[in-house]
Amino acid sequence: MTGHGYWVVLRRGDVDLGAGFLLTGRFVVTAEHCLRDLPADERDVHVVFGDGVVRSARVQTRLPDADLTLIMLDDRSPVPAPIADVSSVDDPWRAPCRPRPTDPQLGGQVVEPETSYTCEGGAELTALQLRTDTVLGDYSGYSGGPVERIVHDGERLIGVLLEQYPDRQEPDRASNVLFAATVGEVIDRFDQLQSANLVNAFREKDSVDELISFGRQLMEGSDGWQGEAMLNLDQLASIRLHIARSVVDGAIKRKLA
Amino acid sequence: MDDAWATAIRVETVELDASGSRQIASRRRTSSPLVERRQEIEQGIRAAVEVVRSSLSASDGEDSKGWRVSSVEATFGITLAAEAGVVLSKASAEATFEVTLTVERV
Repeated sequence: MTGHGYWVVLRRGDVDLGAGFLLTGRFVVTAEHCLRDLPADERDVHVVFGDGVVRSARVQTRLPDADLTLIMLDDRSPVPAPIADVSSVDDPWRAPCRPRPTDPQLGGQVVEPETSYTCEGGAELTALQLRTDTVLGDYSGYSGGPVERIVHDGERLIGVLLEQYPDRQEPDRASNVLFAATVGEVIDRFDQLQSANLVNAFREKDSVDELISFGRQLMEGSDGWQGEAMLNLDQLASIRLHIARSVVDGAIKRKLA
Repeated sequence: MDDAWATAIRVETVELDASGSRQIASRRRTSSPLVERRQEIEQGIRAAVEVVRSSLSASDGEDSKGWRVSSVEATFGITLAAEAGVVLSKASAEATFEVTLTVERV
């Protein structure tokens, strides 16, 4: 791995398992197949950051069908989490995490920002179909790393790199088509990352007063989430908006009932 | 074969399951001790010889008679392992062992 940032290498003993990246201050995401040499009952891994800092972590949830894994750091990382985003057709993208310093950085254009894709694990994912200008014929070592959309003031996280598509005439060689699970897909797959589960509790409140009170509690509680580096500002704003909408929607429905 | 040497020699192996070919984690070359796979290699060569013999005897006409496998030649690559020992590695893009059978009329 090269460069300093929120992307990491996952290591077990002396063996590098693959790439991953911080999604929040505590959670690291990777492709499940990067951990195929890690026994199912073994959870302890090391997370190596680009500056050489090694942190202990535990595998939280492995999803072989969706080819995604969530890992939790024992201690929060001071490295800033990325800003998550969605992409559009023809957006320029890059994969900042390279297997070795001698490997090139991948980049290209987004072909499909949200396509339905059946990954090798068998699950149907909402995926990015990417065209890469860096034609290597084999992209081994790049999976599990982040995919970023390049914008005028920096980069935005849009997915996790998972698969290459083979050249149909030479199946041993990869085409320049790559697939990545979108950030939305990652968040939907893991309960630990879903604000939706939290705000579904709104539905259980009988009265408007109870609803507003619960919403207020959540808003107050969310003040600490960013301080604890669980979420970045964008994610926090999205959750607060979701809470506010749920309160308003719930109140209207209950008034009309 | 000396026991110590036998355990130091490994043979390169591949996954038969085609799954994972689209996944792009780092690829690792896998190997097994030759002593553990020796029986399978011998069985494979015997089976190939048997296929040649039976196909010759099943053909029609005089030409099918009097043939035998006169030699078996195996080609393989050798890679020195980083720590110790050697790996019998790929002889071609696909195969670890290339086996050539020569048949001749008795």
